[in-house]
Amino acid sequence: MQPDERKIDFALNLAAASIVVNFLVLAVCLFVFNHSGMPKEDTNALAVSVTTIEIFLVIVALGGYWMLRTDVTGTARATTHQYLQQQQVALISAAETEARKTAEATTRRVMEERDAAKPQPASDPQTAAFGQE
Amino acid sequence: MAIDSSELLHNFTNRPGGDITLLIRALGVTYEEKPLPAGQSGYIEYDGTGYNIVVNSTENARRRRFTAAHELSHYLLHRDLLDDTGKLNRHTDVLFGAGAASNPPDPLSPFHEAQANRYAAKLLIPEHLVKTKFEELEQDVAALARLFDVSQPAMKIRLETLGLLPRS
Repeated sequence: MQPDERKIDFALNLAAASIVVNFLVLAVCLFVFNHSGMPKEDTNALAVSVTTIEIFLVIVALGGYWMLRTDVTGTARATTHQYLQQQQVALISAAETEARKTAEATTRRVMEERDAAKPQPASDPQTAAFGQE
Repeated sequence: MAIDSSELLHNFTNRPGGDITLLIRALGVTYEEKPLPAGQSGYIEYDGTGYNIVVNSTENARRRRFTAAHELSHYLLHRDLLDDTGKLNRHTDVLFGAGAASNPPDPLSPFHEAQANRYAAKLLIPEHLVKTKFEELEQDVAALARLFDVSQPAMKIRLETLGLLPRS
């Protein structure tokens, strides 16, 4: 498994864990609320109703999540691969451009060093002629 | 969109007497004519973001045109040698008159000057074009000079260099 795929798996597991933790926290809150006995009225009916709804939501959320997990994983991996490929292409293109520029300048300088050893005329008749009206 | 300098140069060298300043600007280089100290033909500088070519406005049109071509040659051939630290970022040329023999080369070398002169001549009088026109105009040097917007002596030397005229 590639490092990026491990990251995707980790992100998906984290999402699943956050769903579970969310409902656990809600359950704890409801338990504390019911156990404290603060309300004078009988709220058992309310607590049971809310707990039932909570259990139902947990099942729906986790069930739905696990049903979609494979698709989510596949899509995330495909998107990541596509993004990485684009980045690679951009990097290779930039590197090629830089290499071409460097090679061009280096070649020019090497050729110039070779030619510069030859004696250069102090004055250039062609250039002087260009300056005439 | 990146500027295709090869295509711009190709277009310029396929028409005689083209406006060299338009080519310079098309390549993304700023061009300016202003009075410079006597003897100075022009300069090219790198200001940290781009290249600027400045030509001495007090010189005649033919000199200004060749100076522009010469500075453009520096841009095309030697711009990587211009320092971007602000110390050696400007190269000033003395191309004509008595000072030409001791043209201050920094940060370039005398070889680079000769190279820029040759390249400028090729830009203003492209070989393939002048050979065609030489036949079309029946070897009329004056007409060729007018067509390419250069002096007659410059055209004559160029034709001699290309072997179209016997060396005098």
